[in-house]
Amino acid sequence: MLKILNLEAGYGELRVLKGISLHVAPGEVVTVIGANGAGKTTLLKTMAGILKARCGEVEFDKRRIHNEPAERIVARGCCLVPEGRHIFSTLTVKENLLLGSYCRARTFRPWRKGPDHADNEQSIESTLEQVYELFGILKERSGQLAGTLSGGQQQMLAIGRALMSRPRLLMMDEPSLGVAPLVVKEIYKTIVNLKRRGLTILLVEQNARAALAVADRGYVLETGQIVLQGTARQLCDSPEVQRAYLGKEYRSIDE
Amino acid sequence: MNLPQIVEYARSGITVGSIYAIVAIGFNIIYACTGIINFAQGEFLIVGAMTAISLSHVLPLPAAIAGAVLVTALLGGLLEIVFIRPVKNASVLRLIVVTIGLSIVIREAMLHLWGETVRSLPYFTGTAVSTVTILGAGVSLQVFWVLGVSAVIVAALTLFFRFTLTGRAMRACADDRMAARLCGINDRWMVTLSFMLSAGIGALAGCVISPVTQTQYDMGAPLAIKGFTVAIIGGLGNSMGAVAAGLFLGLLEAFVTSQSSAYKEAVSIVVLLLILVFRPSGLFTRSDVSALRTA
Repeated sequence: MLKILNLEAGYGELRVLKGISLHVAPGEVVTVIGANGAGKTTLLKTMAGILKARCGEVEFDKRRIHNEPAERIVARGCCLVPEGRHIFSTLTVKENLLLGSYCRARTFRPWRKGPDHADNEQSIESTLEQVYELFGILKERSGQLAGTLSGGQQQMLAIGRALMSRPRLLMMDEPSLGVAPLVVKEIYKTIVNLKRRGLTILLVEQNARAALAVADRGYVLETGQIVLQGTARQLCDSPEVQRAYLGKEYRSIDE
Repeated sequence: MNLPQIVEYARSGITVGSIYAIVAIGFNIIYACTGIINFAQGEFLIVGAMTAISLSHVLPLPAAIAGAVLVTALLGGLLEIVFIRPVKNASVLRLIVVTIGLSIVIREAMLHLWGETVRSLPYFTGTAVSTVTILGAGVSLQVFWVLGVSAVIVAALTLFFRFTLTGRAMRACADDRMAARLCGINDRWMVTLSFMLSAGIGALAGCVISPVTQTQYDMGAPLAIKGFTVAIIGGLGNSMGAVAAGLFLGLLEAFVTSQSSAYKEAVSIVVLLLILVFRPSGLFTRSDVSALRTA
């Protein structure tokens, strides 16, 4: 479904991604783990079209998307939940969600043709119901300004907003960042839930333990390069991952 | 001061005040979407009025005004695409300087096209002398047009931003540009749209005040300064605040003028300075919303 070949990207002089290759098959949950500054967020931003790739290829559904603008990539069904949530804090919860389905609403988009894209209000409404079902709190708070939600609720809103575009590939950037442990559990429950419904997920995390628990496969990113890959089981058992990311030999600080 | 005099000053204050408010709303739309203060906003009013005056020789008045609004909106969009969009990695300050440059260019272009002549549109209903008597003072019918059109603009904009998908998308762009793009919103088109919208609104405002204040090629800059003051008093990005602040400044100016006309221009500058020093987020900003903005 998603294939990345030799992707390089960075900011100005700084080369952050130094040739990354990975793939995600339909229905899989794949995680990319790595420390601060490894290039995880840069990787996702480049895939989502926010950053321009210097070289390499991103292929989604056999289409090269690395030169397309962000808004077209979303319309193709590849949606990113950005790090730090980035909800529209001065808009209401419901407005946030409805904007999530912006690419499905009838607007002038000459590059999308065909009857299957003629999404109508009804189908958007039914997606909204599904999201409310997934995150009950969002329905309760639908009229509230999004910025007044708690951190965990904002993270749920960010995920819900992304789901409103009915993505086929959902990319998540550190959904557990800055969220209370109990809420992390709930968010990961949702990820498992979404996986059961057949959604393909690319999950980027610093919280390796949580990510490897739900993933089928994983990649380890270090200073812009993939240093290790394998099934989640293999990675969990790998001594390197245990030492560097699961903190087996040192006393864990945050868990 | 007797009652008719008070009514007279109040009328003039409310009339100019509502125009200040419309100019301020033009500032707000672009500011909210881009963070830019568009200093060519005043010029849009004059371009609109001048175009309408020229068109009114060949078209009936409503068609001429509609045409002028359309032309000015297209001009606004065109200027954004040609001069604002290509500026790469632009800081907001640099873009603001671009808009100052644009205002000068537009002004000089108008001097070439329409000359220095003072022109005006005919009164929309009746003539210059037809008035309605309120509390003993004569009030020109055009004043009601100014107030009515201002009210309609504010109401229509509020509905647009609150209830239409495009309006919400513009607010989303204002709130978080990257997140808006991740939702599939084309942010570049939203910025162009914000320029078109505020140019069109400016043109309409320019047309309705033309019969009252007359129109000359260089009248845009003073209007822009007043509008900017009002936008700051009302809180940048806050349309309802702009209306209240516009009326406040208009009335203040009118009554200060009644005592001594020498201080008329100083009023807005003094108010602007006071606001910037003591309450830079504006008098009418909802504190919860502004807290969310900075967060």
